[in-house]
Amino acid sequence: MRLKVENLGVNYGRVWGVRGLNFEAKADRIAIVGHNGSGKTTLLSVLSGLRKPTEGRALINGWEPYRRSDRWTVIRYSFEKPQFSIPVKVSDLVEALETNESCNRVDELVDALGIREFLDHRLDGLSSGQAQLCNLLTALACDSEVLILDEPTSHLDAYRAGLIDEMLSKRKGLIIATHDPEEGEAVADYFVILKEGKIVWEGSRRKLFAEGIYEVTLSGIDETITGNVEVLHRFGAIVVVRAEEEELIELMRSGKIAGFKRAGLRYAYVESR
Amino acid sequence: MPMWKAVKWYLRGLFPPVTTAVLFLFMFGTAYFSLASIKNQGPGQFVTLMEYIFLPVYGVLIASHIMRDSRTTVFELSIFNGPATVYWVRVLIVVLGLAPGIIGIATMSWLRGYNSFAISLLLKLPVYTAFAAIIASILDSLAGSITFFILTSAIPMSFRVLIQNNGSTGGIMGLLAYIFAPMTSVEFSRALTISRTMGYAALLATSLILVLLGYVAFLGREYSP
Repeated sequence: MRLKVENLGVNYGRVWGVRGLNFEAKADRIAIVGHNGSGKTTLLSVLSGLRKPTEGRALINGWEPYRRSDRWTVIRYSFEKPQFSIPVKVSDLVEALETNESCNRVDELVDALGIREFLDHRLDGLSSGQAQLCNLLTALACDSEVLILDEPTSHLDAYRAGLIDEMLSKRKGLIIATHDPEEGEAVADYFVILKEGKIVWEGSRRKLFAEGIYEVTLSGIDETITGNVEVLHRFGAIVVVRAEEEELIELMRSGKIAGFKRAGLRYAYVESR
Repeated sequence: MPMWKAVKWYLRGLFPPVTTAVLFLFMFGTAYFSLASIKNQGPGQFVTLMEYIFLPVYGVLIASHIMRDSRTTVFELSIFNGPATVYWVRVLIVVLGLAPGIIGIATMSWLRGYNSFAISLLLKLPVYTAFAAIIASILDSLAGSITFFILTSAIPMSFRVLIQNNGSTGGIMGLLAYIFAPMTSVEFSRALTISRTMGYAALLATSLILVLLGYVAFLGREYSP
């Protein structure tokens, strides 16, 4: 998938959701990462063709999504925090999707996502996690050139979130927005970090993990790290450090730390604050 | 994908049992007694109760069913592969929803011998459908329901005041009176300088144009998730 964004800007009255965005990515799976209010959903609304940009343009594989009349089948979209105020049963949704000739994976996903357990429930009576699963079913079960997901696992338990991430990591033509570094790293091979509607970091997976920065899990929550290790950020028992790999192996042998990995997105994300 | 799946989808919850039963009981009961009183008291009571109160409330009950919030609409567009199926099935559902009440009261009027009221009642079907279709294309649930009620209750009521105060009314205002308030127009047909046929033709043409405009608006609608 080729994604090109040129001087893109979207405003809501006087407030700009994003402005002056420029980037070009060629990757199968792209993660748009950022804090709350950074402009992720606004960018996705343009990429999914739900709205036109106020200025600039976005191109996916050479076409502008909001100009395509067949965008509802070429692009599948799942939004954040779904709530359906309609008196329709989940079984009606499954039936409707089953008769849609472009949706070939309905049955398989109904079982895999555990939707069969609440087929008799009404959509307006579902919990946030169940509504999220129905929303994802609609996006994942049907063929499309591009799949756009906004915080796809935000309301799901760890097991189902892992299951979704596993599916997504094999999908081509995926654009995902998330504020969860683990999810971004589990799925994407190109990253764009937004802050207040501007790009603060972008790059490939290789670039992301080439920084020589590590994410360390401490053995005890009050543990302090000694030696030639520079602590950059602390998140409770998880610490982002700059250090030599050998130094960290030593600390792990001595029992001070439980493990470590290249910091990747968490570091880029925190540094962008 | 088969259209009937979408029809089935939208039929769900179209007639909430308790609300519909209570509304039908009051609406048909009121229609029966007010029709019976036309002979002695004139048609004002029947027109007022039906055109300004019961039919607009009934219309809101049905129209609000298709006026869904943006997220739900995006979800439905995704399920049914785009706006064509969603829009036309919504229009069909409004017709199916409005038909029992409007045809029922029109039949009661006809059985009582008030044929002109029966026709003006039947013409509520296309005009209410057109209002619902275009409003649902542009607005979300609450704003849409309020707008629909204003168009079908407050505006017809204001035409009654206008015609009563002005006496003779013609031209554009006369046509608008037939479009927004066909029953009032029948009641005050002597005060309107345009013919009933022309008024009804304007109503049908406007309804058709509004339905088509609603489709164009729905095709071009943007959503902010």
